[in-house]
Parts: sequence; structure tokens; C-alpha cells
Amino acid sequence: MKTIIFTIIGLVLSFTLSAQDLFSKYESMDEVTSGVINSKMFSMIASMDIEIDDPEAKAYMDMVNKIENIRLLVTGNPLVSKNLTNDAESYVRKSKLDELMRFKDGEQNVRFYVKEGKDSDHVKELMMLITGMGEMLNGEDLTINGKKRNIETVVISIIGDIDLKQISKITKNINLPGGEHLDKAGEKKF
Amino acid sequence: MIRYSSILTTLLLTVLFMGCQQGPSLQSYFVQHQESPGFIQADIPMSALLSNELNLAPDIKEAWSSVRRLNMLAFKKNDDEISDQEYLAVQSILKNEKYEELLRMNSKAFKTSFYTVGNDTEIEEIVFTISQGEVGFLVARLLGDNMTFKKAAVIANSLDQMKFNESALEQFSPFFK
Repeated sequence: MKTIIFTIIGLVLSFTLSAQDLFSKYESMDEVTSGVINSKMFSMIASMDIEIDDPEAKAYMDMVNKIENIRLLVTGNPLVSKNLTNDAESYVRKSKLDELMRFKDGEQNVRFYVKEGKDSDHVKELMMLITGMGEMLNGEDLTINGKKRNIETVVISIIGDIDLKQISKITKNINLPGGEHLDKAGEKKF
Repeated sequence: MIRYSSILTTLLLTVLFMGCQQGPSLQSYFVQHQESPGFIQADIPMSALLSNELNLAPDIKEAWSSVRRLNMLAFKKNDDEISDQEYLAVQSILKNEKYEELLRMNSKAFKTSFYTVGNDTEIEEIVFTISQGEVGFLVARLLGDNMTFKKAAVIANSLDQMKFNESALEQFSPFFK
């Protein structure tokens, strides 16, 4: 009887593994560069260049006000990359995210996952997983803050009420790595 | 009888004391540490910080005038353990729900975070922290006076055209490299 109860509790817990857990596990590691942007920041960005008359600006503001947070993990360490990819994939399985699309170019692999939202244009969560970036950047010296960086794996998670058609506007504004791929997410009809 | 009254007094004092101690605030952390070895502190009114106030566009000027003062505390690293410990202490104060996190970033070279205190219409305080491996860490508080999100956005946007009074900030220069 006890075993059954524990199994059920275990199952319930494993289904509720949140993006938060994934990020708190990796964000303070030395080999990982991480970032979290919360809703309050978006309302501040939104209040920066306000031209309410402009319908596009208004659409943008409506969009950012519905985002709860954006989380970003970047690593160049091969071992951390491997673990992060595994954990991200198991998170996708456990939280039952649907694959929106994937691109593959040589070693580089870009995948998008979404959690269904109120209609076909809106999602509750958008997750982007890029692996094998090392090859793409080969031969290029990427320097951030005067130090050489090596990027292998990138995980981006956006949570909120997300309009896929508007998402590229945000990535243009905050310059996330892989933002150009997010552009494509808006074009895709599904 | 004397016993009862002394117990009562103790109880009263405890209640009073607890009433004042609603968890540590950054303010009390600043006060406790300003004299501690390794820490440097500055409390600068905005009028003393800006040197080109007169030549600013009206909206920028108005935004900056919503900042009352800049209160900064920094720890120049001389001991890894103390630095880590104190930075954690600051972070745990900032976990209080009064501090709303706007963003945070961690990397090997530095850790930084950005918070506001207030409500939807008025920002009382903007808090910025940065911790850099070899240098130490810095906590800056911008204390507002009718500051709004819009004004805060103008402030952030106009940072590059501001001229600050460098002598006021000189001791903190290692943190702004």
C-alpha cells in the first residue's frame, strides 16, 4: 500500500517539475551563463518608447504585458552541455510540451517546444533548445566582456500568454541569442 | 507580585522588539555594515551627483529629479569567504517579497540583479547588485521621490548622456569597469 502511495506521489511530483527547477539547477553553475527577465522588466521596457497611437507599438505592449518571464541558460562546457540537454529534454517530456518545429544544420540542432494556450496562435510556454552551436561558431572568436567564450548549448524558456505572431518583436528588442530562429516561430502556422 | 510585573515587562519588550524586526531590510544591512572593515559606503543626494543637470531635456531632467539620493555599499574583496557570505546575506534580504525582481544574470565573470520596491504607480526604490569575482560586490539603491516606471525607463535610457560628479563615485570605480 505504502509503495503505491509513494509511487503516486512520485508521479505527481515528476509531472510538476517546473521550468523553475531546471533553471535553478543550472543558473548558479560557474560554467553556465544565465539570465532571468521578469514581467516587471517588460512593463518597464514597454513604457520606454510609448507611442500609443502606433498600432504596432500597442500590440507590442499588449504582448509584453502578458509575459511572466524569460529564462536563458548558455553553456560552453561539454559535460554541462550534455547534462543540460538531457534535463531539458526530460523536462519537455514530463511537462508534455509539443514540438513546434526543428531545424538541423550539421551538428547544430534547433528545437522549439510549446505548451498549448488559449488558441492556435497563443501558447503558455515556448521553449527553445539549441545544441551543437560549437560547430557553427568554429573559427570565430566570440568575446563577451573581454573574455573568450565558447557557446555550445542554449536553452530559452518564455512563460506567459504568448502570441507566436508577436514573439519576434521581443527578441529583436532584447537581443537574445537565437532570436533569428524565433522569427520563424511566428511564421509557422500550426 | 514583583515577579509578575517583571515577566510582563519582559513579554512587552519582546513583543515590541519583534514588532520592529520585520525581517532585515537593505537599509538595516547598510547601517550595520557601513563601518565594517572592507566595506565602503556612500549616500549621495542627486544634486551632488549630477554635474550637467542644467543642460538636459525637460523630460530627462524631470525623470532624474524623481530620484532623491543614491545610496551605495560595496565590499572590496579581501577575503573570499566573507565576500561570498555577505553577498549571500544581501541576496537573502532581496528574497523578501517587498523586493520585486526585474532581472538577474549570472556568469563566470559577474553576477548581477535588478529589483524595484513599490507598487504599480510609484517606485520607492531601485536596487542594483553586482558581484565580480576578483573585485567584490556592490549594492546600489536609488531612492525615489514620486518615481514611476516611465521615469525609471527614461533614467535608464539617458544614462549615457549623463555626466556624473566623478569625485563622489571615485572610490567605487573598480566596480564600474
